[in-house]
Amino acid sequence: MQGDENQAPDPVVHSQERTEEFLRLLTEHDRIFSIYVTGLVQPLQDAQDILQEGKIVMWRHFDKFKSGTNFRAWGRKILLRQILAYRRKMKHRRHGQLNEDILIMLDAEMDSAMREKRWVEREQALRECLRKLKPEQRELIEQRYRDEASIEKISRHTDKSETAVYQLLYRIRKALQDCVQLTLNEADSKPTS
Amino acid sequence: MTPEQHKQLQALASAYLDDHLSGEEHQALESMLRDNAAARRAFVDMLHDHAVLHWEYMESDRDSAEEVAFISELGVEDEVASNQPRSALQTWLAIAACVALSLLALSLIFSLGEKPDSLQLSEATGTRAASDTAEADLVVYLTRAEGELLCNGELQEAGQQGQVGFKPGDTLTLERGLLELDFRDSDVHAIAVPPLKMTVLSNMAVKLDRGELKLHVPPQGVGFEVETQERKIIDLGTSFVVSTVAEQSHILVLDGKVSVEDTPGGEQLSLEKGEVASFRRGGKVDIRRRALEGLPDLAGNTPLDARPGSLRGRFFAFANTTKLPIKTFPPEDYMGRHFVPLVESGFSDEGSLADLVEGHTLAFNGIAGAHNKLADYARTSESNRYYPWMVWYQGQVKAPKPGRYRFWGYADNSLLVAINGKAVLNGSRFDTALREELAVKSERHPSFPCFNATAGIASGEWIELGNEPVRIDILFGEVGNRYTSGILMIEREGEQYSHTYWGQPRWPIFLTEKPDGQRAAELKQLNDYLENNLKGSFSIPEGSIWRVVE
Repeated sequence: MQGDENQAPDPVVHSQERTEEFLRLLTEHDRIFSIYVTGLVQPLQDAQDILQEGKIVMWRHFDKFKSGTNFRAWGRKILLRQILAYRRKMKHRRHGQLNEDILIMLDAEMDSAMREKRWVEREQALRECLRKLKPEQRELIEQRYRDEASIEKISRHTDKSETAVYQLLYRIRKALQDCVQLTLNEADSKPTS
Repeated sequence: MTPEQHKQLQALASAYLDDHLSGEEHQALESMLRDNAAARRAFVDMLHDHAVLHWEYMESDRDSAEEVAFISELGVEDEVASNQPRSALQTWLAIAACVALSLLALSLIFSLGEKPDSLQLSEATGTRAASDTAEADLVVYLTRAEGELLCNGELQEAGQQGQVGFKPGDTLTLERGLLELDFRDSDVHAIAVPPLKMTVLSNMAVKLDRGELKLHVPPQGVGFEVETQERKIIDLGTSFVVSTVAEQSHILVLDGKVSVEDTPGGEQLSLEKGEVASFRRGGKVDIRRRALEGLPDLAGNTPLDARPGSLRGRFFAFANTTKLPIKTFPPEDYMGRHFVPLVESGFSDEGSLADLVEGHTLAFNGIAGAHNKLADYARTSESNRYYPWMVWYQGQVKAPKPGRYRFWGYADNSLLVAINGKAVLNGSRFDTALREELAVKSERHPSFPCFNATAGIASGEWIELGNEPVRIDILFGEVGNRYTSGILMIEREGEQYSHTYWGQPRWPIFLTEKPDGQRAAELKQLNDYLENNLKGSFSIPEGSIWRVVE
């Protein structure tokens, strides 16, 4: 369905100033938007599709955004709508997805996390903790996240059972989370000058 | 939340992230999240970590030579950084490259640390040394160069990978070969081809005087600018090509969106995927659409009526009296939905096809490239001309020789293969009913480019085949327009296939009849096109043709 036999929509036109404002705001918030969507949507490819589509919607509706107001909140609402539309469409496929009411609650919790900026330090702590993984553990994480390999594929590559791979991933994630928490607690307990 | 509850949440979250929750666990997780605010808070932190791992999980991998590990549960002791550090930039490039179009597969290969054989930078003395410029000034790094690259008129000397870089104001010229660049921080990846003259303006901008630039712009590079013909082209998170020859410029948007000034300094026009904009210095922009990014539409893909010895294809469309909404968002796959029950029944129950009309019965001629003429040929006067269609090829086939096989393929829009009633490949696009509603074990391979799939080609599960014929069913269809493309290949385990230089095996096109000379020449032409444009590859080796058994 590359082409469209219907008339293509009119190109969206914004003034140069508004275009620059949009690009600046999008660049500024791009990372948090990426994390927001990737956290709520699986697999990654679908998250990327939603993110891309969400940015296009933001661009199309940017004339409705009032300069000086909260772009993160405005963009997040658009992304949430995109996610909900996607979930309704995918409901037959993703039997494991969480109920919509829970998603709304998670959205609110994520909004709090962003407002509190608590993920800034968390991300730094996560980086530190990643460095402390053993090479084989890092390899597993790389396969899962960098290569987006399925559990079955990792199982074949590592010559471990799928159950063992699930278990290993759980242990690594748990260790990372515990490590992150410890790092954050230590940072909190340091005296401030 | 108690420590026990927290541990339980960690286990459930991990299973959720790996799509491995049982029904009971799913309920337990939902219950916990619904009732417990602390659990929600902890859970979104876990989702955050998961997302960060996806996007930038190895950033700190480069400088951990003296870290003391303390993740006791995992038994980690003193830890030294792994031997080949990979920066976040490179890692992101690898991921981004996977989801971009074919040209970006190169960045995946080269970002993994091995210097390509094709690196042919001059090592002559008296040239511009790799270390001429201070690291801090560099805004773009050279990943690869084929041919003699001149920087500000001087021959550029080879350096360690990733150490050759350029600063704002550097002008690069290349008369033959190819150039691959990574822009600092923005992670924009560019391939430039001659005759090239471009000037680096910053890590977010270049000026192109002549030549062709293919760019992939990840989210952090949104806003990247290419200046040409006195106007700016601004990327909105996408892949696009800019070419400038003799004061005539073209922009082709491969994916995502790009904005371009209508006139120098004028209003921004938005270009979408598949659109081409042309302009001359000082002139206005002319925008037109281009089907399938110029993919050759082979004459040999013209459908043929079924004949003895061919796999027979039944063509289905909606009746011309059926009215369907053409435009919906998200797009609805009305045709695919009719075929889901058929697939679920092992291709035995055709009840769901009752309200469709059949057209001409076709011969299977391979799926390779654009098949834009198929529906026009196969439709009858009863079929609606503008609505979706599906071809169901079926028959008994015998593999060229016993062994384990798997299908590789992708279609825009629908492609599914079943052996003895069991679906073994789902190469349909992400928004089709076959992809959404069927659980067929298939993997996408973003590092193997595919001309019509940014997420790369898909592979199915391995199937063991002996000397006995098996039943094959192939569904190939279109959601709602006249631009349809696909590719279907077959791999035999243990068979040696040649590889492209970006590492993709050239699997054979799945065929049930040997292509005649003209067809073979056309397929070669298509394959040359795909390889030259880094859009994929295939082969037609001797002895790879399957046989239809009547």
